[in-house]
Amino acid sequence: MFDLIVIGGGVNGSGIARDAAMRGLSVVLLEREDFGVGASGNSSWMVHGGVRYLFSDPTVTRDSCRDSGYIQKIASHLIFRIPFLMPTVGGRPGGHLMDRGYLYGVESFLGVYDRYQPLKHGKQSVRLSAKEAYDIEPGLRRDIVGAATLDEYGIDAFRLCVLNGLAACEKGADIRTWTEVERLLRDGSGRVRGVLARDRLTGDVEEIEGKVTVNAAGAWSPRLAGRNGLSVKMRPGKGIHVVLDRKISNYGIISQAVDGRDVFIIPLETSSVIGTTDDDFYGDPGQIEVTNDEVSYLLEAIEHLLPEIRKARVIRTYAGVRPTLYEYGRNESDLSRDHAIVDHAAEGAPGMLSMVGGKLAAYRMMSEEAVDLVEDALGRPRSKCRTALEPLPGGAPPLPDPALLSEKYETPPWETERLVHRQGSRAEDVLVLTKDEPALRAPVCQCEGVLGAELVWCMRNEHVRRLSDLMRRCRLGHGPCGGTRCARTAATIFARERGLDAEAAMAELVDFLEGLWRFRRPALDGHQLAQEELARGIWLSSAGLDEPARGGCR
Amino acid sequence: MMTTSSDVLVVGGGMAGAVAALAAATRGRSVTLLRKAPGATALASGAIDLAPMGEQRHVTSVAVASATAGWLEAVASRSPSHPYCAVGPRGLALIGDAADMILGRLADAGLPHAPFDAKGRGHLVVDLTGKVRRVASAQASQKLEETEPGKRRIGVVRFRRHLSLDTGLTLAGLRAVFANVVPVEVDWPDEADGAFLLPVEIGRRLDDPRGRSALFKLLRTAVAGKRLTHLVLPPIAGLEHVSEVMRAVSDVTGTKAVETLGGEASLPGHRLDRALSRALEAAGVRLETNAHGASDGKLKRFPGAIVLASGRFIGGGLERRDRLRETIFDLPVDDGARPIKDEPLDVLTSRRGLGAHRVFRAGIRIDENLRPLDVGGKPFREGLFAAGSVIGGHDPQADFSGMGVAILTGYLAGLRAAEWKRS
Repeated sequence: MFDLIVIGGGVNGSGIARDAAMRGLSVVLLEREDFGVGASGNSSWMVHGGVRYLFSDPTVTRDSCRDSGYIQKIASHLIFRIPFLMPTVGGRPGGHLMDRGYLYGVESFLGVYDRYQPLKHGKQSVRLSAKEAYDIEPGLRRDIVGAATLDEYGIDAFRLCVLNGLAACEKGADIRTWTEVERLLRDGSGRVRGVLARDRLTGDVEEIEGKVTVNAAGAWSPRLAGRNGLSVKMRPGKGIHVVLDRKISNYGIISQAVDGRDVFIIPLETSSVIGTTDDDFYGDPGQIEVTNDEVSYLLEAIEHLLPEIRKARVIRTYAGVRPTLYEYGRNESDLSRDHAIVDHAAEGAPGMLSMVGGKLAAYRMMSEEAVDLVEDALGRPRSKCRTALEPLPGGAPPLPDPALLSEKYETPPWETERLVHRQGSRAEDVLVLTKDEPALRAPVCQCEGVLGAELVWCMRNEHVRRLSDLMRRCRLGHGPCGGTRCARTAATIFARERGLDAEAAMAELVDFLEGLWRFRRPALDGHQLAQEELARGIWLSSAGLDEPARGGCR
Repeated sequence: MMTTSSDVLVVGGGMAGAVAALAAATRGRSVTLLRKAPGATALASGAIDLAPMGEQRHVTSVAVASATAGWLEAVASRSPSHPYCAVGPRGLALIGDAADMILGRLADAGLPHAPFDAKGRGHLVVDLTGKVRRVASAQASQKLEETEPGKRRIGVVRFRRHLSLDTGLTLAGLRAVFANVVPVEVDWPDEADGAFLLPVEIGRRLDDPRGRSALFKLLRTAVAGKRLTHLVLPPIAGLEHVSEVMRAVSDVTGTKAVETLGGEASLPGHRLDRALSRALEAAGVRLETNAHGASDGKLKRFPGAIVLASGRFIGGGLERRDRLRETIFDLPVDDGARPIKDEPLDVLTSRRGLGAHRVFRAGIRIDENLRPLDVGGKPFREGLFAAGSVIGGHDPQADFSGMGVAILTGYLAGLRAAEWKRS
C-alpha cells in the first residue's frame, strides 16, 4: 500500500512524485508512455514569466517568475537564457509617429514586467534603435523602427520531467513508465483505494493500492476521470511547433500571425523553433496530429519579420495538448494559464485529487501545493517542502568544465559540452563508462552531440524502456538527419544492453523511426525531401525494414 | 557553355547518367557529362537490384528460396506505369546487354561485380540487419557464397572499438536465417582515436597492406579454432583495392569473406561513384563537375542530344517548394498514375513512413523511346531523352528496382541519344 499514487509523468506528475518522496511519503508514479510526452515535453520549453498574462493573470506572471528563478537554482545545467526582440514595424523610413508611440507602449509594458525580472535573474528590457536591432539580428525585415528586448529562460522540458522522476526514485519512489491506468479501484463507500494498472510492454496487469491518488495526467485527465464516473473540467488546447535546421536567428523574435496572435521563433539547442498555435482540441491527446495548414500559419507569421525564413529547412514539428482551465466563451489564447487542484471528495470519491492547468515554469510551486493537500488527505501534518532548495540530479553547482572533461576522457569537445548541458554534475559519471569501453567515446548522434557513453548511461540509469525514450533523454533523432545516422547504432547498443533478439530489436527501430516520421510528415518540403529519400534508401534497401510486421527473417 | 562541341550532353553523374554516357560514347559519339556533386548513386548500398526476386523480398531459409522465372516481366506487366513497362518489351529485353556493359566497365575500373543474373537464382547478399536477399548483382565483395547448408558456419566480425561498425544487428538477423552464426570479436581499430574513424577512413586504412596488418593479426587469432566457412564484415573492405582486401581477408582467415551492404555514409556507394568516374574517363567522356548552372538557358539551347539523368530529390532533378516540379525543363510530374502539382504533402504521403508514398513515385513520364512527355502526352522536345530516377512511376528506394531502372533506362537513353540527328 502506497501513501500516494501519481498518475502522469509530465512535469506536474513527476514534480509531485519528487516532492512527496522528499517529504517521506511512499510513492508510485504511473506514466502511460514516457516522461513528458504530453504538454510538458512538447511545450515551447520556456520557463518564462508569462509576460502575456501580465494584465490578465498577474499572479501567474509573478509565480512563474519566482519559480523560474528556483528552477535556475535546482537545474542550473538544463537552463539557457533566451533574450527576445520585439521589433516594431514602421511604414516609412525613420518611423511614423504612431509606430514610435507603439514602441513606447511596448517599452512601458515591459517596464512593468521588469519589476518581476529579479525573481528570475532576468535582465531589464532595453529599447533598441533600428540600427542596433539590425546589428544583432541582420535577418529582420528592412523597415522596422526599433525593437524592445525581453529576457526569458528556456529549459529542456523532457529532461526536467525525467530529473524529477529520477529524484523521486532516489528518494524511494517506484517509477513505472509505459504503464497505463485501466481504471480506479473504489471501496464500498466510493473512496478511491488505488488503481488497476497495465504494463503496456509486458501486458502485466496489477492492482496498486494507495491511500491517495493524484491524477496529473494532463490532457488525459478528463478521460481518465470520465471513465470512472468522475469529472474533470478542462478546455484542452492544441499547440504545435515547427523545428528548423540550425539556429536561424541569434535571438528570440516575437512576430504576429495573420490573426494578430503573437508567434515567436527561438534559437533552441541546435535548432530554431517556431511556436505556437492554440486551438480547442477534444480528441484523443495520444492521436494528435499536425496539419500542413498549421505549419504554414506559423511560417507565415515569422516570414512577416524574417523574410528569408522560407529558405530554411523545416526538419520536424511537434504537438501537445495544454490542459487549460475550463472557461466558456473565451478565445483559446485568452484562457487563464492558472491552475486548480480538484478534490473529488465532492463527487463522492474521496482519496483522489486532479491537477488542472498551470504552466511549465510554475510546476514546482503547484506540486508543493498538491502535496500539501495530499498530506491533509493523509491526515498528517504538512511537512516542509524542500524542492526549491535541493538540486535536481546533476543540478548541483558547480558544473564541471566540459573542456577539462573532454581532455581527461579524450572525448570530442562539442559533444562533451552537450553532455554537461544534459547531465550537469553527473557528466563525469557518464564518461567513466568509456574507461571500460573506449568505443563509447564516439558520438552516435552527430546532430545533437550524443556520445555512445551518454546513450548507455541513459539506458542503464534513466528508466529507458523503449528505444524511442532516448529522444526524450538526450534528443536522439531530433536533429536534422531524423535518425538516419544514429538510429541503427543506437538500436544495436539498445539490443545488447537489453539482450533483445533480432525481431525485438527491429520492432524498436521501426517504432523509433515511425514516431519521428509522424511529426516530420506534415512539414515535408524543400530539401527535407532529399533527406527523406536518403533515409528511405537506407532503411528499406540497406536495413531491410520493409517487413517489420513479420519481424524480419523469421 | 563549353559543351556545344559535344554530340551528346548528359545531365547527371549517377548510375543512369554514367550508363547513358558510356552507351553513347561506345557508339562513337562525343559526350559531355555534367554533374553537380555525388548524388544518390554515391549513397547506394552496392546491390544491383532489378526488382524483388521471387515471392518474398527476404530469404527466410536458403534451402527453400527460389527465384521466380520471369519476375522482371511480371513487374512490367503488373505496373503499367513502371519504366520497365514504359520502355516496351524490346527495350526491356536489352537489360542484359545494359548490365553486361556497365558491369564490365566497372570491373575494368577496379570494381568487379558478381555476374549479372536476371533469370536465374541471382546472388545472395546480407544487409545491415542480417537480412538476406537475392539480387541480380552486387559488388563482388558483397556476394555470399552459397555452400551446403549443413557445413556452413558463419562468423560475424565485430570491431569492439567502433560503434557505427558494430554488427550486433547483423549477427542477430543472420541467426534468424542460418543455424551456425557466431561473433568474431576483435579490438580494432587499435589506435587512440580509432573510435572516431569514418568508414571511408577505415577503407583507406585497409587499402594499405601495412595498415591492415594489425587487423589481420587480430582476425587470425579470433577465428582460430572456430572452423568458419564464411566471415561477414561490415562494409569497410577498402576504398580502391576492394578485391585485394577481400582476397587477403579470406586467405588470412581461411574463410569466404563477405561484406554487408552499405548503409549510412555507404563506403560501397562511395566506391561505386569513384569507379563510375574512372570508367567515364577511360571512355573519353568529358566530365564537368560542380556544374550547378544546369538549368540555365544555355543548356536549353544545346544543339545536340540531351540525356536528362538528374535524379530525384537527392540529385536535384525534382524539387518541391509548395509545388512539385522537374527542375531543368519544368516537365510535368506525375506518380505514374495521376499528375502531381501543388497537392499538400499529406495527400502525397501516407501514415506509415516505411510504407509507400506518392511523392516517392513521382517523376516525369517517358515514351518507348525514352523521350520525356509534355502535358499532352507528346514528346516535350526534339533530342531530349531521360534516364534514371527522374522518371516517375516507380519507387527506387522501396521497390528494389532503382539500380535496375537506372541501368536499363540509362543504356536505352544513351543509345537513342547517340542515334538522334536533328531533323
